[in-house]
Amino acid sequence: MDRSRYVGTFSIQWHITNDCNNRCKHCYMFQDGSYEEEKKNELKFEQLIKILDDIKNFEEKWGFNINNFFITGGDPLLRKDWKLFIQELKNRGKTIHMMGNPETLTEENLNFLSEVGIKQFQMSLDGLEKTHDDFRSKGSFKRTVAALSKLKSRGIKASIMSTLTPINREEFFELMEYVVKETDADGFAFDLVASVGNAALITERFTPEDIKDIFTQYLEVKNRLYREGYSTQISEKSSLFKLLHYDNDDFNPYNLEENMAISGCHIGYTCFTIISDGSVMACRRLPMKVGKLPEQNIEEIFLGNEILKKFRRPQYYEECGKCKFFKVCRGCPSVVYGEKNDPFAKHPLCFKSLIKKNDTYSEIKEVPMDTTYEEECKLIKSHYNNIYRNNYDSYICRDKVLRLIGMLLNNKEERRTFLKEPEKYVQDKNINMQKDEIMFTVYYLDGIKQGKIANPIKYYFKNNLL
Amino acid sequence: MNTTISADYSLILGKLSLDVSFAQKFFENFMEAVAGYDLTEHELDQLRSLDKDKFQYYMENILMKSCDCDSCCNGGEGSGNCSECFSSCCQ
Repeated sequence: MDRSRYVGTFSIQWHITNDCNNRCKHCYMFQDGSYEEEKKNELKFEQLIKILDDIKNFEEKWGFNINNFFITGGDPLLRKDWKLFIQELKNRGKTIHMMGNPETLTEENLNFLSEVGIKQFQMSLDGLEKTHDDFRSKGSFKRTVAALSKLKSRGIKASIMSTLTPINREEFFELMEYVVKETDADGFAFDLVASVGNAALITERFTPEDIKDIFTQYLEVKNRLYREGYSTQISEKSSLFKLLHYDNDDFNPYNLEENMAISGCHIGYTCFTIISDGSVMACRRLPMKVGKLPEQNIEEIFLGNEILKKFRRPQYYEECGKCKFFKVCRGCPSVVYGEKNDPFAKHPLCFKSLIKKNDTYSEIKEVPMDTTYEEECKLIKSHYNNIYRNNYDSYICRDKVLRLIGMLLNNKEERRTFLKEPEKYVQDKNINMQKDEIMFTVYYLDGIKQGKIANPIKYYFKNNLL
Repeated sequence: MNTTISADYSLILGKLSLDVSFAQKFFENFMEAVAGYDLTEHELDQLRSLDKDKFQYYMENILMKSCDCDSCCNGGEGSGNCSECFSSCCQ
């Protein structure tokens, strides 16, 4: 099959069962009334296969590459035929990530996961031992830490995801250091709690000031741990981190006009969630169903559903739509929903008004809603408009681009000046560069990755100035 | 532009950071790689002092950890080697 017209990688978070051995305090699954119903109507194996066939049709018809499958539950390993399903995904050439609990990681299951070659297995730690066990179940902390070692011993990448809530914030950094220093985790990430499901019962609330302080400290701890030589991948999952990098002249949300969005929240662009009864959600943390599989098909849901279409259009966001970070952030609609009951409302925890720079306003550029499937497909694909990948060979032949990058890599102060106002910089320096060349340079030099720039060699130069 | 270094010196740094085949040639045959560029003795010394092992480390280790997934908010190639967020949007 000629895949040259296919773009990007699209991911599906698939809750193949909602059966679970835990009842976590912050779990989104236990939305009033829906849990038992979903459990009763869990899709049969034949229906899972039918959905996979539909996915294949969608890929072929519209040129999407739906490659990444995040298989979860409940605990996905509690579904009786989970191995059959994982094997089926593997047979179809899919990349499999799993998110589950340690309790079911028996020797037999671990061996299967290793043999089938999953990409990673993610588990949660929500605090130090007492807090975590209080959130989940007695002994869960120790079981999780032990499972990390078992996964690692079988060559399976293991990661820890933590949900930051006002309850566990006091020990959050202690947990972060513990995971990095004392466990076999390959990665550590966290996200803010969305007050849906069980988490709606947590009454304490963060303020934007809290979030700015916590995120600032997180970057400090992360950088210190890297300086100390720890190699665990410490992730900046929340898009709000970009505000701090921007304030530090280490990031610029510079974009080409024709790109609708290039990074930020996945919702509506590069992922959706299928829950155990086949209901489709824009995000699992957002309790708004946008379709039902296999009764409907992916095409009509992803290209036609009105809620998903709204997520692609700045005019529907109360605040994010008129922010120059729209194309790289869009906050977290699930967190917003949890606080405001409206995913498009102003993000209650966004701290852009607290950073030193006060130039985040941008005029809203409305995008019409009455699009055809073809037009909607084109809009989504603008997210994947990867000038770096598509034109890489061309850029590395352009001396003016290389010369500017070389000079900026070797001069931190110049780099900061450039990243503050890229267009003004090249104008002032009398460098004749096209907008896409400036964007390529910005992407390459940004302190954090964005816009699909993954070339790592820059870190050599940034850390080993000549 | 920074006046303390020559344009060709910046060009070579740019090439080293982006053009893997040039970087390989640079470390295999330094004189051949820099031939034809207008560089001062000091700049040649600086380039000669580049640490090949460290360079390889960044190439190999950071590349492995670099996000390779367009689905991730900081995407890359399509191999699904998720890492920047190291998770899906799930808690």
